[in-house]
Amino acid sequence: MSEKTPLTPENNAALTEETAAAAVPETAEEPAIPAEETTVSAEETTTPADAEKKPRRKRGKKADADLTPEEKEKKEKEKEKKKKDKPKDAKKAAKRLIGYIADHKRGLIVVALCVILTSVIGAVGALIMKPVYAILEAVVNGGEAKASAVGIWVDGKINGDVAMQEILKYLLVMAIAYIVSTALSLLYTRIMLKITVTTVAQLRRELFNHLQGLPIGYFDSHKVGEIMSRFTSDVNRVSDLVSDSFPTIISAVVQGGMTLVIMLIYSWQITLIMTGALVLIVLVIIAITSICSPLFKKQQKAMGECNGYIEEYIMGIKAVKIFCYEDRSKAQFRELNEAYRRIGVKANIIGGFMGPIISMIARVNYAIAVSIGALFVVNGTGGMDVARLVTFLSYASGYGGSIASIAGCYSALISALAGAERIFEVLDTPFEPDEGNVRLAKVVSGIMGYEESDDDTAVAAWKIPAADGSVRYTPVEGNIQVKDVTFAYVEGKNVIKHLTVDVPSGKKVAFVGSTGAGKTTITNLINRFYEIENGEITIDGINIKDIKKDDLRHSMAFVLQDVGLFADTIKENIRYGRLDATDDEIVAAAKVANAHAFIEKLPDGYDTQLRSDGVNLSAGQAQLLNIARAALADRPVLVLDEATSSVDTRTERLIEHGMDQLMAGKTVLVIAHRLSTVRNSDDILVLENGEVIEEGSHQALIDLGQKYYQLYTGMFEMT
Amino acid sequence: MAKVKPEKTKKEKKPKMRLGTYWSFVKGYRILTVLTPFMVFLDVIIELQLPKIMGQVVDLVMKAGSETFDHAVLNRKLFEMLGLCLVTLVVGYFSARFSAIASMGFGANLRSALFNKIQDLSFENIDRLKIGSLITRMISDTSRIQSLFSTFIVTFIKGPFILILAFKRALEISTELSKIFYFAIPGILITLTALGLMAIPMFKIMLEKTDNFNSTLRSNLRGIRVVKAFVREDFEKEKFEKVNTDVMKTNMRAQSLVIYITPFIVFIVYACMILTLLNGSRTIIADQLAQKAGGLTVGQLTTFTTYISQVLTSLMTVLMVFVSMTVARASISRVSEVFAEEPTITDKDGDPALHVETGKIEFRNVSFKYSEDAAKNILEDVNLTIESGEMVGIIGATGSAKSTLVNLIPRLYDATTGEVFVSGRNVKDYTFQNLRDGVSVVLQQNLLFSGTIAENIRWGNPDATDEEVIEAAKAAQAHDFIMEKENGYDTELGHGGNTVSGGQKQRLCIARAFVKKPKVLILDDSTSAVDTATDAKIRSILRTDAFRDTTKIVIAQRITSIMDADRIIVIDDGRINGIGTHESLVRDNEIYKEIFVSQQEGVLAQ
Repeated sequence: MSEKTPLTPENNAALTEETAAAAVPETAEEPAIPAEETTVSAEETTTPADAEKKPRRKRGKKADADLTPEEKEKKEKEKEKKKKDKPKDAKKAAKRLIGYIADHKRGLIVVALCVILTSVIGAVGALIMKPVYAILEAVVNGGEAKASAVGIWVDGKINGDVAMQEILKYLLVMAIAYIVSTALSLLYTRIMLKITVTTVAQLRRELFNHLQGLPIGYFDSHKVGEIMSRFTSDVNRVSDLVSDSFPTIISAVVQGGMTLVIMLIYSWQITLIMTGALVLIVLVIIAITSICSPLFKKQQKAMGECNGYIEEYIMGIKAVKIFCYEDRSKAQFRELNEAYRRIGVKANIIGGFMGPIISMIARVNYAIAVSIGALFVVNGTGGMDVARLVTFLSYASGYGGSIASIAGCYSALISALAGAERIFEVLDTPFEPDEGNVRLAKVVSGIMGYEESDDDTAVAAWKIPAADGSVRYTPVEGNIQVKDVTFAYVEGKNVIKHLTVDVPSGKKVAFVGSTGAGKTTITNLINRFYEIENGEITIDGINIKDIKKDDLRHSMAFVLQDVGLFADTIKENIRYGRLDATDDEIVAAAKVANAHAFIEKLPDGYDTQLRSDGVNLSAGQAQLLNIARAALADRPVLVLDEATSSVDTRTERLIEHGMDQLMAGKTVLVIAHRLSTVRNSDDILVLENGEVIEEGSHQALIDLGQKYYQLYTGMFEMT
Repeated sequence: MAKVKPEKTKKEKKPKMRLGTYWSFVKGYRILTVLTPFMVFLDVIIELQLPKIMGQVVDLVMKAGSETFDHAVLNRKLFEMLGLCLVTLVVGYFSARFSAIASMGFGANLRSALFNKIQDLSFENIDRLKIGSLITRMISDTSRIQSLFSTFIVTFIKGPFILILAFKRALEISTELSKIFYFAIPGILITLTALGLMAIPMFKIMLEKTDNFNSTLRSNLRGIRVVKAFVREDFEKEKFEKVNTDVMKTNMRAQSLVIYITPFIVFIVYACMILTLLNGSRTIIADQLAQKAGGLTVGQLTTFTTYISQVLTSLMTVLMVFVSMTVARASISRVSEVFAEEPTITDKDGDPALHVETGKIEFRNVSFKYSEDAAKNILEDVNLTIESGEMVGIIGATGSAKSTLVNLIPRLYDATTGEVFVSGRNVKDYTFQNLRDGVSVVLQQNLLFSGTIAENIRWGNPDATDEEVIEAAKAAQAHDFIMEKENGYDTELGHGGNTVSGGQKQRLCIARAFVKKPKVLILDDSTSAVDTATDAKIRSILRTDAFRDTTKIVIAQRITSIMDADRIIVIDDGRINGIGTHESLVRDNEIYKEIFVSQQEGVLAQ
């Protein structure tokens, strides 16, 4: 593996391959609609406060039962990969992560200095205890030699006042040291907080901005909850590492190192014995972890099954009640729940036993230090005396602590790196290709041909740069030509086969066909949500690949199947079609879509706040807003993909007039579930398995009496 | 199979669930739940014993050389110490074991109880609580409460134990030195409470901002097609930047109070240690000079300083548990809300001996609204009699309350005013089991479950033979496609039945209702995804002898699905607008005519 900068081409290629492998759409033919996740992602609802406390678990994953065997196998593999929860290339991820944190170099250096200083002060503080105890021991045990050694032998006897003064002196030093150390720790926690929150915000910003540039294929192959967990749990893991582990590691290393040195000075014999015991602790931790992790994996699986059942049976609660299935569902759940409980108990006993084992070893370690130390004092081995022993022991307990906290940081590090890797994976996914240089411009026709202008009379035109640097303008008319296009989401499974369609400016062309026929794919290709490999699509004679993506999409208005309402007011949701629209224009657009009437009835009218999932609207109402949005956008090309599928037949009739107004003078592509909406199209294409099997006007196709006739009269399923 | 057990209903009458009520979920693990803190208690005692022994060892060692020194005593102390360490291991094992069993058990009981509770809720309860929210409560909230429980039985008990014991030991060593706690403890409590009180509103704001962040992010991801189609990436980036910065700032503000807690406690510990050393030294020196025996020893002083940090840090642990309780409080209240929810419909007055004998249905002055606060009735004064064996079609615009009307028959909802009769008896006289055995509804949503096709069909009748299952599937026109599957009736349907198409799902749901052989069969727009030919076949099956005595009610969007019914009911805005045959309605009913014309236009055009 390359040890260079993380963005080497090889790495990129490797990552692309990986994402490509993951990008197998869920439904075989029409992956246009990302599976609506019924799973409740715990990460999504976890508040930051408990995100810090609780171990983050992956739950709410789809239950295994809902997968076909192949999918299951794939999932198993994936799971194996995931469950390890280890970064694939720790070094690379670490290097790159350091790159992020390095932005706060100055702050981090200050933090490191503060931490080192406080650790030193902490150690020195304990060192000061030694003379205090020595003085006290001299006072208690008397004896000229001892007393004069600590300078309290005055006028042939121990002078209490002098002893007290001496002690006071030491304690004063201690007090100053501690005050300084407290001040320093206040300072560095403050800096650390700032670094942490800004790093979190920065990672999130980069993730989000990068995501906005990714191709639709990425979103079709990743669930919303999955992407969201990059923003929450993965970012949190990284931030935990920065905020907790960084200072902890520094202080543990400094303290551990200093403690070790001091202990070695005081008594190298006892130190060596203690170190041996610590090695044992580490071995025990490793052993228990290896016993534990398969158990925890099993626990996760049992929990997944339990949660899958919960989801399914609460989603289906109404059927449960209609069939009086409650007793059976309760019993089945009890069983799954019990299985989860049983494995959970096993895993947690061993997991919970880890702490006691470690502290037992630490205590034995400590006891060894005390007993050997005491024997040394009695025998006078190694020049050990009581004061020395007391000090040694105070270090000895800290020694184990430092090793344990380094070990604790290790697991935080591993988990943070795994999180970081997942974040980088997103950041390394290539943007959708956008190499076109044809732009949209507003032009007026002048003496020298077209000229760019901001004038109200200006019309939209394609600005086509030539190789010699000159520029040519062509007005946007909306002539769309699809030439011999073949397309597959997954290699080998062509969804569109040799499709050739001509949509002349101002005409209305409809695509009909049963599910999986490839209707929605056509919209995906025209606006370059997906790239075509074979064949080409042109608009006004320009290959859409030569047009800058933003400008291509700016020339079209879409009413998509996914309504895509945002957590904002109704007004702002409609304004999405054209950001500079006035309120009057919004109302006018809503009237075109026949949405005005229901909006007016809402308590806050156009200012009604929508929830992100749009739950406070019916599906039909949401579609009307979607239409209003397109009406407001007013683009030369209009694409209607199942625009009124959830609107009932009566309302559909009511908006017919509005739709005619909306479509007037535009090039329109219609994909419809209900054939009543395609009747007055200039041309109707009947698709089956990605091929056009019939084409013509409504009447011609009805007269033909084949597939279209059958679809129209409802003889085939059209879900 | 009575749905609601009387003793349960009594318990549920409590309007509010208190934390103490959760004690009932410890059932079966009560002994261990009590033993866990006991083990922790033992652990704490030993933990506190250790510094004491160490102090004694130090004192013993200090006498080394003098004639009072006894080697045997020292050895005994050391063995005592090692022995205690082994005991801690045993105690540790049992406390891990007990707490694992108790908290997993508690969690399992809680989940089961909540699941059972949800199963017993009525449609109205479920509509109010929302299905998505119920899933979150079932999955995330219960697990949060479980982890609070396990923290609680271990830490919350441990904290005060250490606090009290260490404090007691400290008092034993010296009441004089212990006076330091009288200042330190209230000092810490007051400061932390003040910090907490200041921080809580900030955390609330932060949680709001985080919600906001999540919903902005989620709607962007869900609506990414719209974002891209309208080229709104930059606009979205700006929007995100705002919420992102908001979260950052409020997080900073909230955390900046909390981060000072640890340095503050550490500082107090240091201060107390220095003061104790000062006081202790003075006492020791004074006692020594005054030749007073039995006073404070150096070893005791060392031990005392250990107690200081024990007392103060355990104080912090206790406070931390309060913090995590505050965090879990939201979860507790969400779960408690479900427990406190009383099923709005119960069948406890139902007579188990009463069965649906005929398919006669009668609505008497029925009005309905979904909630008491709703201004307008959804159904207004409906009077209707449907004879046994009749086939009735219902048509009307979306929102005209067609489904609401039929939902009253199997008591999915209760009429707000008026009465509904099935087989001549008020629906309230039946038990759910008996009523719904007689009245079978196929809902608009096709709800299928993991398991095989046969298992799913058997939902209608668990005792159905294979022949009966196949017969029902054939009637529902599902048999052919089932047989095309590799495993036929044993084909696994997958999560939510998602492995079959919409039209196939609908047919399976119909088969599931058929296998029940109900007296009343309600198809609520259940063939919308089925092609007209199959739809026609299913309808012709309904006309066969097998269904002669069954009352058939069909709700449909397509007029073709109901035009051959004995009677068609046109519903408009919650009222019966017209009843009649297809011919008479086309002639006399404006709404029916309008729908008919709109649906027939294309066909008539040819």
